[in-house]
Amino acid sequence: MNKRSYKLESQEIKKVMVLMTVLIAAYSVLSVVCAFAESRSTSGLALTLRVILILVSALGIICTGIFMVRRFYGILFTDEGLIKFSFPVNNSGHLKNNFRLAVMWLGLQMLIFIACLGISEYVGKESVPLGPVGSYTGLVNSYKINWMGEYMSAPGAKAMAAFVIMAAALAVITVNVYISFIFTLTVSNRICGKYNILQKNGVILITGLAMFNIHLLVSWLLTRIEIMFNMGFLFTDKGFTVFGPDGAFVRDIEGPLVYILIYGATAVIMYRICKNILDKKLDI
Amino acid sequence: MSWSMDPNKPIFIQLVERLESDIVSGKFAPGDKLPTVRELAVEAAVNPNTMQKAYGELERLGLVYSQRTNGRYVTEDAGLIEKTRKDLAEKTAEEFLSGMKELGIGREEAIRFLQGGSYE
Amino acid sequence: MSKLLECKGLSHAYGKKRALDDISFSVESGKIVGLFGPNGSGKTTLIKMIAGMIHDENGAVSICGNPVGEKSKSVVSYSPDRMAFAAGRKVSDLLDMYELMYEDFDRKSAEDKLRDFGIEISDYVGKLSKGNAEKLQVILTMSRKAKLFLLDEPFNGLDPVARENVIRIMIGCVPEDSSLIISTHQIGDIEQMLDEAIFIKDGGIVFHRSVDEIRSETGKSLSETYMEEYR
Repeated sequence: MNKRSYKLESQEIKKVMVLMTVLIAAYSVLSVVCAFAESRSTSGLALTLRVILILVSALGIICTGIFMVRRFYGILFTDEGLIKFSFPVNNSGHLKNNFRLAVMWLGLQMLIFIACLGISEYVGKESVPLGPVGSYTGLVNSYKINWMGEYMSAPGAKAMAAFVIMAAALAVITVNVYISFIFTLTVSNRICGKYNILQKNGVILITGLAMFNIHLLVSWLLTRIEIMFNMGFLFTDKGFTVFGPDGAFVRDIEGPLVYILIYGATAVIMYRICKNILDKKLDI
Repeated sequence: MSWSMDPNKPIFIQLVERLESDIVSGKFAPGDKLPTVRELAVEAAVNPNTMQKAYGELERLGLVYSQRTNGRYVTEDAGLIEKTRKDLAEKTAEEFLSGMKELGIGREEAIRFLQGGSYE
Repeated sequence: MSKLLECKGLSHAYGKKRALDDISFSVESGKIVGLFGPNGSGKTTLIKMIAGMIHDENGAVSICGNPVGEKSKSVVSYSPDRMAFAAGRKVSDLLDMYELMYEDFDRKSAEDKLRDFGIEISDYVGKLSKGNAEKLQVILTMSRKAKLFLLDEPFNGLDPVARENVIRIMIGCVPEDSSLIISTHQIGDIEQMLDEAIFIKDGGIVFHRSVDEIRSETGKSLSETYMEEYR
């Protein structure tokens, strides 16, 4: 990363910093409140608070995503792009910048989300079941037993691997979703150039819908593949227990690996196309 | 205020003429230091390169000399300045006479007209 | 001496409409060039191509020997035909941005000029009058020691006095071997500062000549020549 794109990045980071600080502060406060409430109150209130925590975290992740996408939009679809693209930086440098920052912030938020869940359960000392998702603490406990009981032995390592792969799959899917937004914007710009705003939004909408349908199609295909090959997989078994040391997930990790492969490859393809458009086929 | 220029004559020629007449009229007195190319270009609202060429022409004519990095100065050669005045005066007179000719007024009549009489 | 700017075979279409049709020309260093033509003739498209906003895979643009890209953008200073700064920013933000991203930016000189025009550093860009906003953009663009300046309609919304002031800024700021390409409708205002003029019609170059040559050969001003050409 040369000096100039670094300068660009430092500019961007400053902008994002404010939002991130607000969000992280919000999480921290909420999880403390949750923990406090859980240690004191009935499970009804605790459950509500935990649900709120999860919703806020999810909202935070979505907000970050929208924020970062809008920053990218600001370069392509507004007049400010005329200035931004005059900077002595490769056109795709803007893409790389935005992408790096987005992945960083989204990743950070997901980590915080997972940590907050854990903290609120731990402090609350009550594993409040979260419906179909099972119990976080129960899951952690089962791994603890395994790791302690059979240190470095196969089942413990498997559990660790399972957890890592699960996290990786979630990460890849998130990145894929984010990149598909960027992709939609970039391709729409390429298709319609500088036609009037109405047409532009129309094209974005159509491309967006197309992307959404493609995502659905891919998910459906993956599901069929999994069923066909009888793989343990991600989202339709009984919640988190599937990730447990005895869960199907640990037995057959091909499922998530296929997810990682497909979503990863698609994300890379979309990224490369965006890069090519910005470098060679720009039209603003 | 920018110099008013004749839009139909080449700019370079007009700049040279203007500078010549400024020197002849004493606006830039002998020995005076001339403004920098850029200063004058901004004042005249012309391309600095064209002003540079005009200065160069004045140097070639000997009306102006440059002192290394110290800028350009008007010559102290009174004779040359006088000759330039005469040349410019002749040109102005010719322009007047040919303008009068276009009105159908001949040379003799034009001179009489100037002296206050009618041109009949 | 190699040319400062060389354009070969540039074409561009908006849908079915041809904006540029196989345009080729070059500009040497140290020239001030005027780009003229009616609305929709392709002036803005051409400038955007040189600035790197639009790519043409089949044509070639080379600036100081480099194709359009990172290197060329560091020596090209571009002022778009519309206000390109977000309204919520302050003038100081823009100065920061230019100082950060362009090594050849002369911040002090920019601040002095802004002050001369009564534009405060702490003003919000959105609150500036149209004239001041345009001056801001021109001042920022001209405060760089670039090799090639591209000014697309820099006189939009400026009254005659403001136009004269902006012209003075341009003349005062353009470095010695740099070139300046101005696209405008105000032919009369800038005629006397131009070296060359390019007339564009329907995406093609009608002619590209030295202004003094036009005057001495035809005895007509550039304005008159334009009227004849496009009437």
